[in-house]
Amino acid sequence: MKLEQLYDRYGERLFHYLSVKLGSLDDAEDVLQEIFLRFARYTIRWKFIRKPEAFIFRVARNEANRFLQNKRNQKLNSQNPGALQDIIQETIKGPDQGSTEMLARALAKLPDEQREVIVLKVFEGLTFKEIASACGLSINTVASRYRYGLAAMKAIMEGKDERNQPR
Amino acid sequence: MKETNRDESADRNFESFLSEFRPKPAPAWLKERILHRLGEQKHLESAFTPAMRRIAIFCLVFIALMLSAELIMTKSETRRIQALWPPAALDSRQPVEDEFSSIWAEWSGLSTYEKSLFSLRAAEKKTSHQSQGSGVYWQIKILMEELNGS
Repeated sequence: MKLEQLYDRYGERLFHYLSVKLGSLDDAEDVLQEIFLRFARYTIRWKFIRKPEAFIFRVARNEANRFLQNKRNQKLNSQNPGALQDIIQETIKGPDQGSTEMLARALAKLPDEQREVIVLKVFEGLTFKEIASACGLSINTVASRYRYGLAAMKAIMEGKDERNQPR
Repeated sequence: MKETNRDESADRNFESFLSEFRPKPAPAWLKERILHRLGEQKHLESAFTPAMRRIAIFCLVFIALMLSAELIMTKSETRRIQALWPPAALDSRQPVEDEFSSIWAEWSGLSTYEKSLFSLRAAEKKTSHQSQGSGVYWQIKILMEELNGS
């Protein structure tokens, strides 16, 4: 698969996922470029990869984690709910401005693990199995993180901000 | 039971609410920029740096010198061998065989003591002759030297 085709198929989804994970559009662009450079450097036999989506998101997740690891001493937007909310609001399109803002606020307040699963499931359209494969987790863990995440989001949106939620 | 059913339907409602949200398309320039930067990066990675280029040129010149020196040495060695043993002695079998039969006649006339003495001295000389060549030629040469008393 050529890089251009690869970008057409997954580029935008990866960019969106990385933006929410890293909390910065610039960082997302840098990491996205690094991911494509990785694909360009190593010849990947795509036909032998059973779940290309899970594979690509796994690569993206690893690269994003590496990026966060390298920047652990710096103040990151991903740990700042306000900045993260702005980024989510900037990258998500909803039925109206108010609900988008509400959703972005709820999503930004979630723990990283739950937010990641919800973004992958709801916005990137991955199945639980694919998310489990991309994140290196069991399907049950993914499903429970999703459920707890939804419940927490609902509570935040309804004004019942629960701080002590199980992860 | 009723509580669980209510929870599930609320979850479904919330999921359908979430399904109204979609990621915004990435900026149009992003693809161009990523692919352009990728092209640049690949070009940078594939090209030699000036220092690497200098090392590569030095290595190539060194290899060329080594090969030409080897060629010159082989050629001069061939010339030296040809001067020592003319092609007639090396190539044509007839003179060698003639020489051998005449020596053989003399050899047959030797006593057992002389033959064993010859074998001893031949063994001593063998090493020095072997360094110059091999095969029948050096054996004949030793025999000739022995019989001529050199």
